[in-house]
Amino acid sequence: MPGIISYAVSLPSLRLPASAYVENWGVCEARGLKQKAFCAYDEDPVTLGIQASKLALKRLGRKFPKIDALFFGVTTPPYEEKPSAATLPTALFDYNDIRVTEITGSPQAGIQALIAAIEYCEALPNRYSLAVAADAPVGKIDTHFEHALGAAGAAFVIGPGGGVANMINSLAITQESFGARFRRQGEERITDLELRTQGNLASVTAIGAKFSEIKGVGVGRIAIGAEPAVVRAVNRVFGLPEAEVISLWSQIGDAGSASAPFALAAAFDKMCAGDTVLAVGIGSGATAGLFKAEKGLVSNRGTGITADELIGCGRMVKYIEYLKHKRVFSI
Amino acid sequence: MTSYISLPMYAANIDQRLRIIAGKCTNCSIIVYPQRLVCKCCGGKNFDLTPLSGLGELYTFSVLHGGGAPSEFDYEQKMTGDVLCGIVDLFEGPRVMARLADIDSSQLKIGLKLEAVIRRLYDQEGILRYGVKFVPETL
Repeated sequence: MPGIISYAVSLPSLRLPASAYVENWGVCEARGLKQKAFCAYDEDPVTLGIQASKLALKRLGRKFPKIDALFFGVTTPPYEEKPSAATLPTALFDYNDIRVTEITGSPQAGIQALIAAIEYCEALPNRYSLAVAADAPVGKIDTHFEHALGAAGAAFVIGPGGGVANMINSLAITQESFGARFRRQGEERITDLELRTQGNLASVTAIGAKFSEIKGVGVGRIAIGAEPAVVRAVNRVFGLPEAEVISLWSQIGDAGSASAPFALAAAFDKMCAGDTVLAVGIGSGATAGLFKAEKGLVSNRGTGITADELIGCGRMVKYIEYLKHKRVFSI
Repeated sequence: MTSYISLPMYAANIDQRLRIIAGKCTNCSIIVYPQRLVCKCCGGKNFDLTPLSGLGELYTFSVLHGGGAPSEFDYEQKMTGDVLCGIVDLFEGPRVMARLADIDSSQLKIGLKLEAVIRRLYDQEGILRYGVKFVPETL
């Protein structure tokens, strides 16, 4: 059975404290946010995806397997047409006989990419795939929801036998969101009607109900990467203690499609063989995969930086520097 | 001042730019990066392709203040400050010139351990040019 054989995360180099919004706008509208990671002028989801992928492949040792397919989940690719995902294998491999698929349009894209990569290997045994989620959502600078927007990356190598974790089930709920968060064609910055918490609660509740129907499935942790209101709802729906819901939202911000994969990687950093974690990507519904940690998890993670360590790195900047790096003045 | 690189030229050596692929002279074994048509050491014309680790040390550096950088970096410099350029001794031997990132100019020090990362270099002709920069080595 194919599964995850390696994983890693990446964060951009800069951090902005939530207090910067209090100082400059009088309030930080992202309740519960302590700081966020955001892209420097020369970083974007492609560079974050390459960095996470390199670290995940490095964890496999010098001779990592040939990757047959790459699935890239991203809502803010640099190009609307021209696959940004094509840059990744060019930067990673010395071969080009690789299938590249870009999944976009929703913060679910990261978890969708991971599940697609696993299903690819299930359909084509003995092949290897790479799932990459990287994102840096951008909003209009004078909007409330912009305060939360961050950036992150995560990568998972999928191969025969798993080793780190195997997916034991997956589910999806699709729910028309009527544009709670959207970006029309040709627009660079997202618009958010700030109704997403309500919509996300419904999706998470539906996912919880679906999983409760499946016998023998125990959810030990949830990796969701969502704001505190959703996390509290997840606690209620799944009956889990607060510590078991992994969301790095308060420390990295809303990293779009990378939020849930980053939280999943952070969960792997702390899990033992046999533990389970449900990774939930949300947006116009939800996509969830339930993973069970395997014996190889501890040895794999022993050779790289953890999500918590990475969050602690990075340079804290002032708000004006943040604006300059975000290219908000002119293009 | 500009460092214009045509798209065909950029595309022709994209592997070198994104994966740090050097040429190893089949005659004298010297590793050359960026790749060249003729070995600078023995004049040999045959090379094997060799991926480099991207690890190295800062040999020397320059700090370009406002107005000193090529025009494609004008806006970046206005937004982010000084442009940092370094000459890096790569672990495998080649000495390369590259942009430095994730470090303040006051922290630059000869001998600093560096590692290569892929970053956006600049936009030209509507196309994003990605390439190698060097940052302080992490764990």
